Amino acid sequence: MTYPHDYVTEAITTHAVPVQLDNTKPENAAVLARIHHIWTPDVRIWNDAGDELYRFDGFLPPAEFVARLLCGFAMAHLREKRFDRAERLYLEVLRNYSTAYAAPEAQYYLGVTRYRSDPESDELLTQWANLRSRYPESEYRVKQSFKDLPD
Amino acid sequence: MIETTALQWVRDLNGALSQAKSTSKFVLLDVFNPG
Repeated sequence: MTYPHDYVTEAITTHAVPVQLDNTKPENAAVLARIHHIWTPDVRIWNDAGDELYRFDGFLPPAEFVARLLCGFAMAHLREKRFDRAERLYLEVLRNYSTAYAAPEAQYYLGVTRYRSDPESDELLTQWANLRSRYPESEYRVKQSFKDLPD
Repeated sequence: MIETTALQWVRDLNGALSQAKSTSKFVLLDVFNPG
């Protein structure tokens, strides 16, 4: 029961137009084949041209869902080079959902966002050092492990 | 996925894309199985 929660609804309607497709309806078969649908819940974030910018499958409880969703909207903004909006959403995840499974992703991409916004800044290494200390067991910690980081 | 009265779902993909364009929002697509 994820969607009935007010904070989930607010997160969705603030950033997106929500559309649901029933995967048992014949009239949806063509679009589901086109997007290679395989499992439910199947959540995609698209821009208004229909370009997919983020996706995830499978049930998540509300707090995990909304953290994942905010990471998705942040990534969608990042891919479209709206760095300020991406940064705000990653910070929201780290502030409000710091123990969620999505939080290490937010920490990792906060550094990427700030680096892409200002390649001269040291924010990539700074945020990745935060990732190393705050989320040492995460996959995202491994993803930055090739890099020497400040203490 | 779970039905709710709080969230107003669009059922038409093209309509959702048009609304997204006019409101400068993304589209959130949720493919669900009613079973």
